[in-house]
Amino acid sequence: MIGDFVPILVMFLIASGLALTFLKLQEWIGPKRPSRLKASAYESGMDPIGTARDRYSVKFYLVAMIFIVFDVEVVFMYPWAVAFGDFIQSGAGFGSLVVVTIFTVILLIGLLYDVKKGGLEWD
Amino acid sequence: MGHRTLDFLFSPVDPPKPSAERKNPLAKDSTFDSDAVTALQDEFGEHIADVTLYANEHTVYVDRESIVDLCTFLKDRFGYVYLSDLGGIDRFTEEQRFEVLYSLIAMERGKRIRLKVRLDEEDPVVPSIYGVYPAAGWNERECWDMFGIRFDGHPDLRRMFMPEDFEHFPLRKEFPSLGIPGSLPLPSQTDDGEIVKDPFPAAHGSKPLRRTPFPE
Amino acid sequence: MAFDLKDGFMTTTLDTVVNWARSNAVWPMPMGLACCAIEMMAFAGPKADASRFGSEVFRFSPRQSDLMIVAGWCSYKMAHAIRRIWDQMPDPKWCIAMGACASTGGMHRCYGVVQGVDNFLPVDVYIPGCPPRPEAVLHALMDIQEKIRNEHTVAIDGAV
Repeated sequence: MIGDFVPILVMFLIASGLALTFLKLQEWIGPKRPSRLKASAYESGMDPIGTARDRYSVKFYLVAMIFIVFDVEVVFMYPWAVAFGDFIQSGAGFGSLVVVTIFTVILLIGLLYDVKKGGLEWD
Repeated sequence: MGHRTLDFLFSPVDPPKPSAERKNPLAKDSTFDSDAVTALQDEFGEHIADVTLYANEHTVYVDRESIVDLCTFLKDRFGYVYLSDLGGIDRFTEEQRFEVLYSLIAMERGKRIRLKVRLDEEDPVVPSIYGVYPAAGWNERECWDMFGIRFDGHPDLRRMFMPEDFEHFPLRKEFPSLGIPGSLPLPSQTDDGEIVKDPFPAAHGSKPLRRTPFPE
Repeated sequence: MAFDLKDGFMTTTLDTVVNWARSNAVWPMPMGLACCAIEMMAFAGPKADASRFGSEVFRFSPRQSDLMIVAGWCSYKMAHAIRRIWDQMPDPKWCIAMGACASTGGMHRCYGVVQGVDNFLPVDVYIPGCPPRPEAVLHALMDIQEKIRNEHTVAIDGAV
């Protein structure tokens, strides 16, 4: 069964080998003439005004964190969903359903807390 | 057939015709406003140096002290609400070298008039008509930049096209058309690795513009 | 590299390969300042097609391009911005002065216009015309390709 995954390994090796080859070739053949002006920040040929690191709203961070948590929850439910058919056939269907329901309810309580606290407010 | 043959108005080998016969066939009758000119002469007679008429267009030569009053008079009484043009002229004569030209249009009536103020080279100052026509703001700045004619009462008289520390007035007749070598900085030909400070920071926006009038 | 590759067989073969690759993928940075920019757009358009020569993308960022096409007249104020952008382009880079105004100042023989961008840029190919036809710009691009193939070598880049 491990032999089924060898093509994936080969593809991974070729892709990473190609990328590394290109990088190394660039480093080897490319010109090296650094200068301060060449490395200066680009602002349409003018002196840069202000900094590029501005403050931005925290709502992006919140949405990203909440998404990750619930996405991982869904990922945990995928193998259960695949194996559910086998569970039913072996007679433990109801038990596995109870287990996954408890799992979902715990996370649902977390979601309710989040909504109450306004974590999903976009404005 | 409907098209006119080619009509030469003036040929260089002809002697000049007496002025009574010099009629410009392209002159328009519709923008001719003799009422305004007569009223001006009645009201401001002693300040008007001359009134000329050519091709159905009046040109009124005014003293510089009364230009603002004249413009207010025309705007209020005769409806000359639109300042079409304001510019400088370098006549390159010994006396009264500069002229400032004002073109006004009465929009509702469809009439045009031209005012000119003659200035000496030693004292090229004229009162600003920014209060009467705010559109004069930038035109007067251009006139200052190109000729050096100062406008008293202008809120923000600084150079329009040339950089702020430029020392010459480009449209004066003695300024060479190719410019004075070295008066405008060129960038360097090599990247020496030195971040060269922008020589036109005010123009490029990386430094605030100078808001005080140009010092003498 | 540990050994000197200056004139050997390896360098010339490497040069051939690298220059072939570089010349067939010349990405222009259009510096369209005036009317010549319209002919440059035509040069990029479908009829006189620049992308069949490899200039598929007109990168408006200096960091991603290797050819600067100065199209139009350059005032003294703009010259500093152009020079700064030229300095921010990574090596190897080439420059085309397109049109009469970029080459010599053209019809603008006055105090505000730089009389030729070669006063502050190292120009490789000049294109006469006001404006030059898109086919003329293609010819200049092919000249640049020849210049890359014949005159450019990996050894002068300070690489090997």
